[in-house]
Amino acid sequence: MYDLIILGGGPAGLSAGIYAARYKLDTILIEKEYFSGGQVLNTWAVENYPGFKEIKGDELAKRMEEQAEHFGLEIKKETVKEVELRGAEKVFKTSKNEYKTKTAILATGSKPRMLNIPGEKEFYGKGVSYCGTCDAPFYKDKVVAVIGGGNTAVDEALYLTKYTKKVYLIHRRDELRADKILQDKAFENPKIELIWNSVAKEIDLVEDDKHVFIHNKKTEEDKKLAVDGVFVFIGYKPNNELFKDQIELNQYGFIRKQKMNSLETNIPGVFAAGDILEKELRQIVIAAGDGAKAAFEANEYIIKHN
Amino acid sequence: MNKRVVIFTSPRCSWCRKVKSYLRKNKIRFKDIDITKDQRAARDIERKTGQKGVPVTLVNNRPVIGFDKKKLDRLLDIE
Repeated sequence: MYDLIILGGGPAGLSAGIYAARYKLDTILIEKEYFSGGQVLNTWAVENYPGFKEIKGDELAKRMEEQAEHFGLEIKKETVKEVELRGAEKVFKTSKNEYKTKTAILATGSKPRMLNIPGEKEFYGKGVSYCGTCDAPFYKDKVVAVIGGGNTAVDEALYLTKYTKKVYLIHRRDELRADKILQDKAFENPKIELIWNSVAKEIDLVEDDKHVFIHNKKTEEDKKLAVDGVFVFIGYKPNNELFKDQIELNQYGFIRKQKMNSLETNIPGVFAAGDILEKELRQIVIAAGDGAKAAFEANEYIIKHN
Repeated sequence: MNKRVVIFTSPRCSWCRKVKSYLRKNKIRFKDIDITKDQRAARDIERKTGQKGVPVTLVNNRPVIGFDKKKLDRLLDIE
């Protein structure tokens, strides 16, 4: 039986791994992807992680993984199918193995939210994209729609204007959530047209031309816009599928904090770290901090219960 | 015989970097075409595969969309 199993190899999980390895806990980290790093891998450049003025997301992830392995953390690239967290002996079943542990840290993070509207899946890669900075060159002199109003949405809309003729920025509220500095850039950019109070309902062809159908929530008006591409940036969704029946979540599906100064979940010996946890700010540096704290608490738990 | 591997990428595309580092790890040589520098390549790939997105990897002209590890393994005989 292991002392600790860490689920998820993003900054929270890897940081927990570094601390656990240094506490000499018998630990494994389970990551489902071929590369560790989680959402960090989808970040082009990180400019706010202390110690680096600018570092590529995948480079930062690689360094975290190397550091954890340097201290002796074992990383299993397996997909967990089932967990049983209640009881003194916690079980993780993967497609290949079954692992048992005294404590666990859930660091499964979050993933980009999809619109879940008709046409989104059908046109994925053929007019629907979740990365403007990747796919912009396919839309030279074309018209595109960006859905969302946060930092990512506005940043990507601005990037897309380098290639496209026009960008509709479609947001469900009457003001943007993005930082003021980005908002000003968007308002000043002649290629960006803001469409307020509106949500995307469907993506479909109208006489061979792609359209996004939108609904204005204020005026109740329905409209269709001819676009060549739709880019979606509407926030993140917690990866809670494996344990949602056992761990107490908040109304948005993030793991509920039970006490101010602890990362322990409603189940004793099970801790949470990083983006999966309910919090105000989801950042790499905070995830790494959570990881350290969760490993510390797991270590304390083991000392107390031995 | 070595297979001809061409990968269409853009600098900010994280999945492109994943495919490339996977190929490098398996010691597979490839030609990297940056569609932000070569606009025609973007049009070619769209015509050939219908894809308006990167990465697209061509293994002896057979397209692999995204980081499709299983398909890459199969086409490149990666164990």
